[in-house]
Amino acid sequence: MYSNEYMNTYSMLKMEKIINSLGTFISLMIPIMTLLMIVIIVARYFFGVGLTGLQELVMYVHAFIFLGCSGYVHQKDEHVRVDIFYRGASYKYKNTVNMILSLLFLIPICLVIGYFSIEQISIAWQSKEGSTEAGGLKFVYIHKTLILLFPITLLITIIHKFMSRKWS
Amino acid sequence: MELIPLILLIMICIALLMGYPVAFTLAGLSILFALICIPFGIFDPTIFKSIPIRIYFGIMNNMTLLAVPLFIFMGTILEKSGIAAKMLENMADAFKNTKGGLSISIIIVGALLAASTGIVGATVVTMGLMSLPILINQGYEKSFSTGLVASTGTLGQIIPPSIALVLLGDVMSNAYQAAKYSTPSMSSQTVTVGDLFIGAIVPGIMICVGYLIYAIYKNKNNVHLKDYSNEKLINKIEIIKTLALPVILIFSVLGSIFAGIATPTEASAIGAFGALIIALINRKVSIKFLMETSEKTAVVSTMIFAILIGASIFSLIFRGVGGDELINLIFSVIPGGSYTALFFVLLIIFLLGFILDFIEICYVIVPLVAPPLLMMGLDPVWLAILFAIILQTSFLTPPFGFSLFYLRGVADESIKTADIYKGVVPFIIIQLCILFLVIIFPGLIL
Repeated sequence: MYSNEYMNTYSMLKMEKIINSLGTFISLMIPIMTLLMIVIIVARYFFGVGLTGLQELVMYVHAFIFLGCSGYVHQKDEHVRVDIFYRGASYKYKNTVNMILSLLFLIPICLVIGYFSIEQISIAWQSKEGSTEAGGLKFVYIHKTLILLFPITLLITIIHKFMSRKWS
Repeated sequence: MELIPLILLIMICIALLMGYPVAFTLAGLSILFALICIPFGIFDPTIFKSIPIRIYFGIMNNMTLLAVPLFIFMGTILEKSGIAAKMLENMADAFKNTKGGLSISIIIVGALLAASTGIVGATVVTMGLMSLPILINQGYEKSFSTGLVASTGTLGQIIPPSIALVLLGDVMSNAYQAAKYSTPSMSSQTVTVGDLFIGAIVPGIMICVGYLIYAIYKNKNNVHLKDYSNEKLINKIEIIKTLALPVILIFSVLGSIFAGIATPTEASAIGAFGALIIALINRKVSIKFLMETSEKTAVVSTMIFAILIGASIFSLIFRGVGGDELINLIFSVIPGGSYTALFFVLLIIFLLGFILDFIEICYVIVPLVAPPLLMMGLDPVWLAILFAIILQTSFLTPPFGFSLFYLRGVADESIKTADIYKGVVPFIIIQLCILFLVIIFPGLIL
């Protein structure tokens, strides 16, 4: 459970810190997103102005939140489990299941999503893909790039769990 | 060959029981399964290219799903600011002179709270911590009290604006598109989250009324109840003051949807903003409060979206290995007309509700079973509401109901698990009665 190497411990703590502060930082986008929505609604119903660009920005922020927090939520062990048997199981069982299935399931997920989205994302970057809506944002390629946050943040948590040898 | 997707389905069910996060089990096992199938020519690897497309267009760029974090934010603010607890306290005071008054107020506040949070676990835990000790202290039977709290906590599934209905609305509209694609003769109507919210109103109220009638009947002759009739009534203005704002909030959110002024997504933003203002009026808002509620919201919605990603990868691969043919085969084997098929599906969803939460069933099971049912001519809104009621009942049913687990977690040691099981039985019966009424009289869905 404990790593004796100083460097290991140091980089581990640093990694945990990065994951946690990323989670806290991204969380604060929630009230901002709420306010942006209110601005859009007020503009439409009281001033008759459709803010397509802002609406798209909200979608960007929304995706940024749930993709960027994936690793953080995994780190906090808040991803929902079917815990009929898991709940009462021993620490050793939990540790083994989490370790083996992280290697068997989670790493392939990250690799497959990563590999196939990079293909699509690079196409979007080459054409600097923009919104098809009038008045929309010109940054669809950045929106699409956010998909990578899912595999990247999860891989960081797996590496962290692997180094600290603490899987549950 | 037709049985290959069945193998995947069975493997997933077994793997889920191991307890690894649902989102990763769904996606990971499907990907492994697909990789193994490629050399045998059963799975076309170019299907993998659709994964990012599905995630982008189906989830990241989906306006309907934006309502999920916003409704969660609204519920979290109402809960963490103590507004919910205060509502319960004041309602209990208001009904002090009525026999069984506390149980009545719990049902009413539960329904209102449910309307605002819509997450089974959170509502059951909050209600359990707040009201269970008071109920037992006032002389209510242990089994009745636990049954009451467990069932009231699940009302959030069915009473709008519930997150469950938002997700179900998204899934149903996709399923309806799919059904129309293969049966062009179907009418060109669409299904929206707003339709489900409106449709859920009458059944939701019927369930609440059912609970109320039972609570009053049950406690009519309960001699153990403490008598408050000699005590002076507390300040009525105080009661109205605490109740007014949250009630106005919930009605304005629903009202703006029903009047067609706002989409459910816009209404969810109004709800979150309104909840923030109520918390501000009650002087609860601080930097720490904002950070805590935001963090909770981000965590819960990330958890939900991870399952959506996992489920969309699963369904892509399930279809890729011939899942649609399997489902059609199963439906063609079931004897009788659309009603037998409907009962079969409801039974399956009920049983799956023991091990899977609402989100998983919405995104894994409903997309598979809904299109064939819709092609048989069943109404999508009616079908969605039936799914919601049966799932809510499933969460209540011993021994595996989710609500019971959560309640067990917060209930005192002196309360036996058998008490909880015994207590929910009458509520399950009420649920089933309403389910059958809705099946027999589809007109109850507005």
